[in-house]
Amino acid sequence: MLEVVDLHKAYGQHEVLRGVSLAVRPGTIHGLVGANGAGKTTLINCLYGLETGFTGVIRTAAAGSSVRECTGLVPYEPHFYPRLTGREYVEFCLQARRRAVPDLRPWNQLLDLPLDQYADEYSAGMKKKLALLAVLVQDFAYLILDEPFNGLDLEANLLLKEILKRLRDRGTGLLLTSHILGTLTEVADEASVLVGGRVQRHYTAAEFGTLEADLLAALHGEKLTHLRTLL
Amino acid sequence: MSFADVWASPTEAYLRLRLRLTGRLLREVGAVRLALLLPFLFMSVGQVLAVATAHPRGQWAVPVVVAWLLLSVHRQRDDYRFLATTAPGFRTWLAWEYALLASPVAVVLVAGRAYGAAGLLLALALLVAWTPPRGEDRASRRRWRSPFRSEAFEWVSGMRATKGLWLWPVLVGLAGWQRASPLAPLAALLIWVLVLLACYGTAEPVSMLALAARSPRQFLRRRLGLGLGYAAATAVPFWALLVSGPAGWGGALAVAVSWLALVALFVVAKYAFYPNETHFRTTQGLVLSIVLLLLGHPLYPVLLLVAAFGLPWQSRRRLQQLIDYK
Repeated sequence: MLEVVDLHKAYGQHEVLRGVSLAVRPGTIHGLVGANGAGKTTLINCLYGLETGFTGVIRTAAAGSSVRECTGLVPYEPHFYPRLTGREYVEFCLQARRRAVPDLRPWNQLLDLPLDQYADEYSAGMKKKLALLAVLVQDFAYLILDEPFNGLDLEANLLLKEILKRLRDRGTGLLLTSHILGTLTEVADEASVLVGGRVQRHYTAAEFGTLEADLLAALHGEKLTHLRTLL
Repeated sequence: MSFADVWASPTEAYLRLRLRLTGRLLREVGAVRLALLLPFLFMSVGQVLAVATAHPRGQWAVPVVVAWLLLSVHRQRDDYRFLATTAPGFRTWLAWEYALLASPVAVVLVAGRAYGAAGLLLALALLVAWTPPRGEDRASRRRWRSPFRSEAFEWVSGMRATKGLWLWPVLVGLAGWQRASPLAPLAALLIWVLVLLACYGTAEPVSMLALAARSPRQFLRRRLGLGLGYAAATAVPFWALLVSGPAGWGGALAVAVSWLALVALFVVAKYAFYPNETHFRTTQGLVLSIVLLLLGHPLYPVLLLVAAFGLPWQSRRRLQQLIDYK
């Protein structure tokens, strides 16, 4: 299990995370929902050790293994070196973790990437798929995906949902953020709603029916009253 | 894929990646530019190192300056977060990279029997890898906007990346302390122009340029006017020291005009090859090398003259293409 307990993080006087706790269990998809600035990316960065100066506990159940060792991360905006092909990018990601480079063709039959072209010339959706390919071939116990559906077309979106479900069925624990609430509730088994740096509520799949209405009330309470006077 | 490729150590894989990227970058720069640039670069850097190594105190400036250059490159890295997510042990890779980059200078220092300075250089190069990168700078999101920040964007980002705002008073202090020697303000001006080179080494987003440029002439005049104004304002203490020293008014004026002309060439070189940072950075490096070696060969003044006329022409042409395109 990947677990965060009472996480606090501040930038100067600005407190971004205020006692966040959540758990990602093996074989489940945990959705992280929140408006821009709610602290989703900061939470992911703290969880992955990319931020320092936070308080709270971050732990994995795997003995002797740190979060970074057993978890793959696809960031919101993956970085690609200029003049490096997609294939070389994936190979480097594997070599960086002392992993053997497998035949990429089976995975690429799914993702349809021009692996021998420079990755920085890919479209936004192709870049996202390439970053995903680099973690898919590494067989991590957990995956953290920050807005994985951003920039994907309909076909890729459907395919990614299927990939995520199959990873879950295979036992991988997934934490994913998405602005597209419908897509997230379709694949997730549970979700945490982050508002103002706090987990406002934790939802199980059975409770997803009220998620949208609750979010609307939490984020736009006053505006909703105003909207009712207009329409 | 060979067995070695599969089981290469992460450090080796990273260094091979950098080598591959550098090779592709050099191929993109082109054989002609490299044939022009590299001899100048080797000669100018070689001469500076030879002079510094022979000087008992000057040799200690070499590790400090090289480490500072490495630090400014390190802090501007845009792959820091990628490396951190790719492998936890990435700092060792960076330490190797910086040590390898510093090693030719260390070899020159050893050849000049400056063993202590060579050791210090390698130690500082290794330490650079463990310094934190430029922050994501959340504070900057809340910083006030001002006409200065939007007009002097090159200076704002360049000074932040190179820590130029800290370096400038240090340079003024050192030049003032050593004012008896006319070389002190000259050396300070040389270091300061390297900071300005870093300021003008990044292409702003094309949307900024397209919004600001009504005509190439008007745009270039504004960028040059502002850039030279800021450069002159920061160089005044060094010029004042030259005036009060053996150089006198005449010498100081000649240095000031040449120095500002060099800054102007940096600015026009940027727009001559905008937005290709590789091309305009190599051109800026070439211009700096020619200026440093100006008296070394009769060909160099001719090349400088070609640059002085060619770069403004090419920058206007490039800007016109961008304006037409928008």
